[in-house]
Amino acid sequence: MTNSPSKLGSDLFCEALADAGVELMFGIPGGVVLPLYDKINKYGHHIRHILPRNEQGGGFAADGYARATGKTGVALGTSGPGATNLMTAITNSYMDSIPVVYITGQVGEDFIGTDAFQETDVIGMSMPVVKHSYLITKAEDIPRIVREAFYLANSGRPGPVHIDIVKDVWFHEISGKLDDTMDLPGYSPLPEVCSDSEIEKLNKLLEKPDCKPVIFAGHGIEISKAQKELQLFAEKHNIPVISTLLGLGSFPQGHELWAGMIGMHGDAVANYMAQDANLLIGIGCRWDDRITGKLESFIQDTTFVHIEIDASEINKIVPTELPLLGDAKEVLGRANKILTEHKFPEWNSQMSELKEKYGFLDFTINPENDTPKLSQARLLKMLSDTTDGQAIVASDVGRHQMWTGRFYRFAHANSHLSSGGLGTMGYGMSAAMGASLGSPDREVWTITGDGGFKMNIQELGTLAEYKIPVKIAIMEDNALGMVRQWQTLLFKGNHSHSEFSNPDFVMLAKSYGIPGARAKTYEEAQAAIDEARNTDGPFLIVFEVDPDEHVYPMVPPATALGDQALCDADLLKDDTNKYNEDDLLQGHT
Amino acid sequence: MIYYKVTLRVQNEAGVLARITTLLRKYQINIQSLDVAPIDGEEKFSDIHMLIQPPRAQVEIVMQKLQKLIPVISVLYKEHS
Repeated sequence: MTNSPSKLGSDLFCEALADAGVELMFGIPGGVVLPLYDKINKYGHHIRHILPRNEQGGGFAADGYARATGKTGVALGTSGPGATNLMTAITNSYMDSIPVVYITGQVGEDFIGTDAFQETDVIGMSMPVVKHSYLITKAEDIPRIVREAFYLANSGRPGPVHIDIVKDVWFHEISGKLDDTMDLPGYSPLPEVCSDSEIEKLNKLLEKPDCKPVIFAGHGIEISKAQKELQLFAEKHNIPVISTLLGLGSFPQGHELWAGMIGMHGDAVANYMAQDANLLIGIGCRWDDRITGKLESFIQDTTFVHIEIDASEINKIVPTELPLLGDAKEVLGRANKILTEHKFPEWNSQMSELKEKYGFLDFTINPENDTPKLSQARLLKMLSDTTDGQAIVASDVGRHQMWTGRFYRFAHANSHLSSGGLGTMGYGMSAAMGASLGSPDREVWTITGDGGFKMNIQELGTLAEYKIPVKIAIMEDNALGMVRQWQTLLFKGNHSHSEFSNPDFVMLAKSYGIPGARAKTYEEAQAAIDEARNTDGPFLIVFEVDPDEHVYPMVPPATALGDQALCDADLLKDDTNKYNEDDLLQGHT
Repeated sequence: MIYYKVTLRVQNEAGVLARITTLLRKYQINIQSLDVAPIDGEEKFSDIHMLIQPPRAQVEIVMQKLQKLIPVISVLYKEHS
């Protein structure tokens, strides 16, 4: 980078962001970043700046932008509370391996350590939840550090990188050419890559008599854009494919080898298939406790193959017979050339029988008008059918999140935005905001509960001001629905602090200038969805849903996938209760 | 529990030790002894020698996680009698 005559640190920083390809950022100004904000509009032709109403909303928006576009998101907060408000978003990106560069201001260098106004050790705070972090104290380091930060965030296994900048840096005057050469001797995006002979070992595992293989597709498929390679791999060997919540979109859901989403609230078929399989081929996944159920049962009599970019995930949870290190797209591509074909006719028919028996993909959808309130599962199916699966859908966290994963048929990759690892309520609408700004040609919905919606309700202001066309679907049950479900089923119906009243969300939206509708019947629901789609800009719908509609299947804590509860009776009736009460209450929640 | 002797080659910069101990703290690993010094003739890198007591099942994972830290160049470890 050349920069003569002399330039200020604030200019250098804006130039470095532009050089890194930043086209959109979310940030809120405050004391120590004011010199930067004095310059930022000068670079508006490169970088569009959006002002969220809370840094957390801005962080989630940057995260949603990154998920929808595959590009690196950027969110900024000032020192102290601006930075601490970003921490939940940083952690959210870390848990789900999302490339976001988080920028915070820091007090002047002379004030560090004096407990100055709005001084916080934010590098210390974010240390366990970032891929890497930097404190910039000299303007001459800006070009190198910004370049490194963007490279780290979006290479190898992606993740958040945090840059903290002391206030003095904005005023440093620099002249002459600055070196932006990256200096990362301890980093390689692909530290180890498996050999062809290691991949060939998969042949032997697949040729074992009575082999019952299942492909376990994680988020890594989407990150490495390995969807085609995965499909070819599955078809070549006729192996059923199940996915994690974040792995949805990695395999066509209409495909005959598709066996659904696994997990605590996954598809019944997927859970039974995972339980019965004796060879699990995990790809870009980390065997989260929400998908393994009781680990002892999950790993019993099962051989594990793990295709994974991050060596520290191998053997972390499951004992792995065959680790295949590398980028999923590259490893699958080689496997497709090297391996011979296989067939598993009996195993495939077992899958078909399970699909037949459990009403695959439509499991739990209530028949019409069987409760006075709306069914979320049916609403999700309605939305999926109406939009033909073409939309980007950002869910919040809770029951609606599980139904979104189960019943929205995603037609495109990078379209399902969900807080998987951290399970952050308040994520959905802000993430949808970022996704919509990053993909203005796509239809974008957020599905949210009335609990999570209120946690970042302030971003209605951002949607309204910038006319961001996010369609908001609030599932109103006047409760923290998933918490309430657990209390009903596991805590003898003691709904402790899980029920609340709401403002009139339609009126609230109206006060922001956002049109809305309320739906109490399926006819009104369909009309509201149609109206939302025919309205330019944001639109808000309140669906009055049944608080007692429980998400099933449910794999209760400390329970094997194969012992999933399929209805209330499995958990509530004494004579049919197959679960150990102590396990349910004391098992990992 | 068995002791492990760990040698980390790291970039010699402020905060590296904090990144390492933050990770060890997450896994509830106590440090029995610790020594940090720049390697001969180079100010750019340091060697950190530690004696730690991780649960055996976690040794490999913890070492892999240490290796993932960006300023950590290499990780060597062995059982210490």
